[in-house]
Amino acid sequence: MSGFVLVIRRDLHLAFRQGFESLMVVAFFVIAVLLFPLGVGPEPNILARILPGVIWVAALLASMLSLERLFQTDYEDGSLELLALQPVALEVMVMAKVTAHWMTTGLPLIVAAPLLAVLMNMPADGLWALMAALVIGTPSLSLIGAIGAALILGSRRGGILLSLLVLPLYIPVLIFGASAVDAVLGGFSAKPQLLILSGLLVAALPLCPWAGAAALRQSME
Amino acid sequence: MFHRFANPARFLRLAAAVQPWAAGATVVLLATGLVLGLVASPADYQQGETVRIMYVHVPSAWMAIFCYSALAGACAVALIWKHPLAGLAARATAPIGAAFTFLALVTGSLWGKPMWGTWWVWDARLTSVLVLFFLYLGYMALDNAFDDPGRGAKASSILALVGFVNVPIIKFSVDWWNTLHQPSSVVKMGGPAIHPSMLTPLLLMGLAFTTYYVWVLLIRIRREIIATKIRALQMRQAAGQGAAAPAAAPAPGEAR
Amino acid sequence: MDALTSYFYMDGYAGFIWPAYAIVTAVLVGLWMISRRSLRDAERTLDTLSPPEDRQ
Repeated sequence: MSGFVLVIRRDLHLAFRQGFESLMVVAFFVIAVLLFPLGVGPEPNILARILPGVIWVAALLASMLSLERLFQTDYEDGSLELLALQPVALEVMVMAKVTAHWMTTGLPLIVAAPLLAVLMNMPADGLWALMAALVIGTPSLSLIGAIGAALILGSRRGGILLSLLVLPLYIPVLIFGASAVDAVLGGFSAKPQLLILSGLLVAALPLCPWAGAAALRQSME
Repeated sequence: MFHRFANPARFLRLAAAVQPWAAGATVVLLATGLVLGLVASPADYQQGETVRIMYVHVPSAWMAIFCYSALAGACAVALIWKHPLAGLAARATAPIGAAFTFLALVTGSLWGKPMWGTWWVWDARLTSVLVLFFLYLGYMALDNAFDDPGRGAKASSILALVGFVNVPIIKFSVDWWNTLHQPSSVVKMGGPAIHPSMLTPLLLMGLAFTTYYVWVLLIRIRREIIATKIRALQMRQAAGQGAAAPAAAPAPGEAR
Repeated sequence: MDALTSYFYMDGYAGFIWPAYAIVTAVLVGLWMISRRSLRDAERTLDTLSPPEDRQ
C-alpha cells in the first residue's frame, strides 16, 4: 500500500512542478466548451439542449490530451523499469498512476464544470446530475485511457494513435454520462444511467490496471 | 534458425492443399446463393424487394463479429502460448474483418434508407458495430506503429482482447435496447422465424462468406510467413556483411 | 424483355439493392486481389534474396 501512495505522491509532485499541467487541461476544457456558443449561436434553448453532450465531449478530449504523457516520461527516463522492479505488483503501480492522473485532470474538470453549466444557462436541477455523472464517469476515462497510454509506448505517431485507440472505448461513458443529464432535464430520473456508469467503473477498476500492466510489461521486454 | 519455421513450413504445405478447395467452395456457394437470393426467392410481404439486401447484409454482419472473435482468440493464443502462427493469423484476419464490418455498415445503410427512411440511426446496434470498425482500425494502426514488428503484434493483441468487450454488446444490443433494428430471426429459441425459401440463400451466402474468409486468410497468412522469412534473411545478410550490406533489397510489400 | 426490365427495376428499389451488391462485390474482389498481389510480391522478394541452399 505504501508503494501505491508513494507513486501517487511522486506523480502529483511532478505534476505541480511541471508548470501546472492540470491548469492547462482545465483551460482547454473551458475553451472547448465556450467555442460552442460562438459556433452554434447564443440561443439559450439550443445551448441548454446540447450542453450535456458538449461538456462530456470536452471532458473526454481534455482527459485524453494529458494521457500521452501518463507513462511516456517514465518510459523514456527508465524509471518505469525501476517501478516494475519494486516488490509491489505492477497492477498496483498502474492504479496509482491512474489515480494521480484523475486527481490532476478529472478532479479539476469536475470543479470547472458547474461554472460552465451556469455560463451556458443550464437549469439548476440538471447540475447535480452532471456533477454525479462526472464524478462516476471521469475515473473510468482515466482507467480506460491508461491502457491506451501503455500500449503506445515506443511507437511512432503516439498521440494521434492514442486517440484512435481510446476514443472508441470512451463512447459508452459519453453516452450514459450525457444521457444522465438529459434524463433529468427531460423530467425523468437519472438513476438508470448513473447505475450503468457505476457498473462501467466497477468493471474497469480491476480490468484496466490488469490490461495496462500487461501492456507495460511487453513494452519493457 | 530454421527450427523456428518448421511449424510454418508444415502450415504452408497445408495451406497450399486447402486453398483451392476454399476458393472453389466460395465460388460455388456464392453462385448458388446469389441465384437463389436474387432470382428464386420471393419478395418479403412487409419489406418487398429490399429484403434481398439481407442476403449480403446479414452474412457481412455475422462475419464482422466472427472475424473479431477469431482475431481475439488468435491474439490470446499468441500472447499466452507465444505461438508464432497465431500472431500471423491475427494480423491476417484484421483487414478481412474490417472489410466485412464496413460492408455490414454500408449495406445496412442502403437497406435502412428505404425501410426506415434514414441512412443511419444512432441506436445501440449501429453504434456498437461502428465502434467495432474503429477497433479493427485501431488494431491495424497499432500493429503497424512500431519499428519492431514483434512489439506491434503484442501491443495490438492486448488491444484486441480489451476490445472484445464490444462483441457481447453488439450481440445483445437489439435485445437490451428498444431500437429500429430488428432482432435476429435466424438464431432464435424454437427455430428460425424465417421462411425456408429465404433461409436457404441466407445460409448459403453465410457459408460462402466463411469460405471466402478462409481463402483470403490463407493467402494473407502465407504472405506474413514469407515476410517473416524475408526479415530474418535480411537481418542475417546485414549481420554477415556488416556495414557493406547492400541497401538494394526491396522492403516487403506494405499493402495490407 | 419487359420481365427483365421489371426484374432489374426491383419494384423501385433498384437504387438500393444493386449498389449494395456492387459494393460487396467490389470490396471482396478488391481485398482478394490486394492480398494475392501482396503474396506474389513477397514471394518474388524472397526469391531475389535467398541463395538456392536457403530454399525450403
